[in-house]
Amino acid sequence: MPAAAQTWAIVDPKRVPTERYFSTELAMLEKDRLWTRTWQFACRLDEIPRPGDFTEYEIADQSILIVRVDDSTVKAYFNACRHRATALGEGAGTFYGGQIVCPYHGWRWNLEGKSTYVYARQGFTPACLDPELLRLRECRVGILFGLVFVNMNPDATPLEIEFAEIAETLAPIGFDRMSVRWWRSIKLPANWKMAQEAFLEAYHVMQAHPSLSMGAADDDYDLDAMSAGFETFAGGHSHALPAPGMDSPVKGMSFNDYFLQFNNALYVGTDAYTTAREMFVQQGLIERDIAEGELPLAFFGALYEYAQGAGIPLPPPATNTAGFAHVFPNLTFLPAYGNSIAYRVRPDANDPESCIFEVWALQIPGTEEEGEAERPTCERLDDIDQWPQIFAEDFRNIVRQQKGVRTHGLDDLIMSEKYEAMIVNSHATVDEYLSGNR
Amino acid sequence: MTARVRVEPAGVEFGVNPGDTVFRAAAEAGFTWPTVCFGGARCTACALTVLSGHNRINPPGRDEQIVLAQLAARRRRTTLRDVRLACRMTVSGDVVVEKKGVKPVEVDNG
Repeated sequence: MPAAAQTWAIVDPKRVPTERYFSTELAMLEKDRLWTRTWQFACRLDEIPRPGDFTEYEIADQSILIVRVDDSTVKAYFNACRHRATALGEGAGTFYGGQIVCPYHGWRWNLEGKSTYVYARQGFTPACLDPELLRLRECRVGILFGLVFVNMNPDATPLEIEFAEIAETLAPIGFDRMSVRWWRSIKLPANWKMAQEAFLEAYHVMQAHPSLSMGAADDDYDLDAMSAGFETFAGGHSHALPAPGMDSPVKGMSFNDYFLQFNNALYVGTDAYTTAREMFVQQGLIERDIAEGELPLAFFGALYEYAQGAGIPLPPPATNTAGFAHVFPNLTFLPAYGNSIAYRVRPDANDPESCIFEVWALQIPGTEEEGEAERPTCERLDDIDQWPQIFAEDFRNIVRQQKGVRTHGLDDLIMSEKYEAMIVNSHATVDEYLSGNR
Repeated sequence: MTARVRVEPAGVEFGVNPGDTVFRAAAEAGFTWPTVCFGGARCTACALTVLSGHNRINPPGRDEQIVLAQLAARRRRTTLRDVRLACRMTVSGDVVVEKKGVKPVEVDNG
């Protein structure tokens, strides 16, 4: 059935039907046609560092075990005993002794998914013990930037091809050198797409984040100074292009001042985009008399000098992207200075108006910070007020949007093809999957 | 620093990295160790007796304490001296333990 025949389908890219954010029918279609066919970030490699380590990836109503088999192999199995469906692992842990063991009747598999033991096998007919029947069912696995991606579709385009353009854009950022500073999640009463879209545009900064617009009202905050637009790729991936020049977006404020205050606000407001490391570097510059417009260059000079001394393998600054980038369908990055915020959003089981939103604060560590790293774990923080200010400001607007899309008389949302191009591209790609064209 | 664990009566030895359990280290060193739940602190099949090096053994956590208490109760005792779960016990130095049935992996069960 063509997507266009549906009331939720995008007909005009500038108008997004509100139904897309609460329709149960659409959520069911996404479950059947989107989540089953797209490459999704399932876990970081450092969550499963050693053979036997596993973590559970849940998406819609599916549970998949991501298992470290050996130094170079990761497998993904649908999380069900072949006997009577018992989930074989929950959360994260280790399959010790290289055996995946069903806690119900003791059936076992090795880390390669092959059946190794059936208790009292004389009670089953030979056909029921066929090794191929007993083998754990697998998903495809792809690894990029130290991240494990899975795809339930055995015929999916390989990850390297599907992500080719966005991976090339993001490669200079150095994600594979980063480790987790913190990782938190929140359940938001909103459709997963609604939650995600708060992080696919910077148009909201002027009003939603006064700390970032430095109090500049209305057109005194020049959005066009922030980015030269967006590059959108087939497959729904996209990223923001670098700013055209070095002009302060805040009218009447020098670029030096703006740069310093922007970093300060993001330190206080996210504890992720900028960290104590950059604040330390920046503090050393404040006392120096730096010519107007020269501060960013001085900052990067000081940052790389500091990094060299601390053994922090910072890659050269990326020149091709302003930072925020979207890896379709549900992963978004906001990198800077060898750090990055990463966002992943998933529908909350079958509820189209609830989602699980995760945030990672990532950073390239120095050599002195290395050692036996613990497996990162996610802290659930459902109280919006407990989050750093800028995240809280975004979350509150997401909740309000979800309230608004239900109101009578609002049939669709209005999109700017200039400022909200990443959102437009993402919706168009969702429809390609739902209509079977991908 | 890697500690050594010696297992009687087989007389086999293997190294245990800090933070790793005896059960995990045995499996990684190529030994089978009796178990049903494979490291879940549930089945008690992996329970061992400490023979020497008591002061180089880290104390049991809550989940192990509960299972050890159940194990003792089955034997109508309040505690079992020197008994620990291999799937939870970590060590800070060399120890000698007793566990029947520990042996090199014979066949590739994969």
